[in-house]
Amino acid sequence: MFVRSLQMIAGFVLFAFLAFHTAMIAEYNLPSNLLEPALSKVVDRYVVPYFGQNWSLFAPNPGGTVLAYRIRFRLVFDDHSVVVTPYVESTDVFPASQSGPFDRLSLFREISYSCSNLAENLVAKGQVPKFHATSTVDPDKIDAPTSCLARLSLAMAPAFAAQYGKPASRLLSAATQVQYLVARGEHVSAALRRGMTIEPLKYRVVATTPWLDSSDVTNFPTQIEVSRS
Amino acid sequence: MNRQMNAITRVLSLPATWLSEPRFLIGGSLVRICLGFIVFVFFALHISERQLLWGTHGIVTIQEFNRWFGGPQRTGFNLYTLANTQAWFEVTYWIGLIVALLFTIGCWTRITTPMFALFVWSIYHRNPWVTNGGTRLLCIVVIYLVVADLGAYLSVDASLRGARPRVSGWLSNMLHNTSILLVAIQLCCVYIFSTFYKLDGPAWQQGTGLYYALMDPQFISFPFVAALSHNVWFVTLGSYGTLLYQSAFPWLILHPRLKYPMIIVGIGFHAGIALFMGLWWFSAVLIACETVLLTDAQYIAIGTYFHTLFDRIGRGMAIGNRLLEQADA
Repeated sequence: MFVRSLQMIAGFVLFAFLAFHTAMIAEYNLPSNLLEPALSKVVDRYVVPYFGQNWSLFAPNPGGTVLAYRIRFRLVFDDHSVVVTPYVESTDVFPASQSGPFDRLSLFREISYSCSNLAENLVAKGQVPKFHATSTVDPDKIDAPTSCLARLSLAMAPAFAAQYGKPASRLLSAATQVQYLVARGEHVSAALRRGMTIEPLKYRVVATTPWLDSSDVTNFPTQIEVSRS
Repeated sequence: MNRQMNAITRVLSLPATWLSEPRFLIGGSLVRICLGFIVFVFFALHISERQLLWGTHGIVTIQEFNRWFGGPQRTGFNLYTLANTQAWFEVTYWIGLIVALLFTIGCWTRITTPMFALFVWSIYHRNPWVTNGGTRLLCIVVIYLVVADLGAYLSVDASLRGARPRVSGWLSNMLHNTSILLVAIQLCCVYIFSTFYKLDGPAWQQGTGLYYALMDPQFISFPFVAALSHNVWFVTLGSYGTLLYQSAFPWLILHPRLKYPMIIVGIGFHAGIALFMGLWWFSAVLIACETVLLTDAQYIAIGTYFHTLFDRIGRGMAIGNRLLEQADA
């Protein structure tokens, strides 16, 4: 009899917990609503960090604003020759975009998603107005993934030295410059209805970092030059 | 009077009765194998660049980690930040790899399950910029599964136990079933809230969302996918179909029969995302989580169905052969 009551209580406690947990997760995920002022403190304390989540996958406007970046290298060789490469697309620096699930470089591609998500958020919040970049980019926010990106591309510099005529063993030092580009996807429904091909995206440069070598990258808080185009 | 009392007691003990029976042991074992494999591959693939991605002198140092991501209050407990030394990093990485392997094969499952959660959480949060998709869901789900019994089938534990019956108390069963329900609820949240966000934008409202998703330059696009994306019928029906499926998922999986087509369509949908958009690991995590949606009785029924089917085909072929032989003679 005692075990039976214990079971009954445990059943109720677990069901109550399930209901509470579901309510918390739901309120966290829902857009702003009337309950938010009353609940947000409790919800945040319960949900963050372990159950924090955001399922705005491809939403609300997939591909509305596309951010890309490109990178160029300045390579110094042991005969004091200096090669400045042209800007290379992110997919050429981290060649993983056509790879299968077991490509170990695919993780490097993820950093570009992080950078682009971040910049997309900045665009969404109006910190980088649609096409015209202004100096209002919050350097703290854009610098963190950029320094991460610069470090990652510096790690790829030896591979690039080989592409530009010199063996990687003769590379003395390398620096990298990152450029962010933004494109706005055109509205496709009209074009689709007519069965037309969609214009390729037109990118504009919104921000360029100074040349960064490994010492710069370690103490990064360098302001990014933001160009007006 | 006594009969009324009995009825009340029965109603009051419904949650306990439902939760204390073993229900989701096969699904639990399948989700263990899938998630364990995903994480083991993740650790094993990146052995050569582990220093660069997560090391103490890598692209995010521990100081930067604390500064950029807001410390443990935002990112939770992390094994990797306990000590800022090379040796500690190496130990944590390699133990993580071994735990993922032991978890996958179902070795000491009750011990390796919480350890797996700890190591998974730590590696994916150490550098949130290099994750392989589906990470958010994976990290949440491993926490739910900490108290689940994931080694009942297809595991080293089960084969060591041999013919001896599996012993588990009512409390263990209750906690296990609650964990599995949490995973199922979480999966429903993924679908229902992504519908919410999609409906907020004109692209999905007008049925062109799928076009943008497939043509996003961040993702792989094969020539035939590009061609398909320019087909008005494919884009429109595909976009609305996605919304319809995602919003119906939480309700239709409650139905004992309709849940089968929902799961089959879901697996097809995610296999498509994996193949055509290159989001391999995101899809793998979602498919892994869908394995918990069937109860043991349903898995056994599926097994029996296919067993009978193959048996019949075999018998049919035997009869056919005999007839052929008779015709020859």
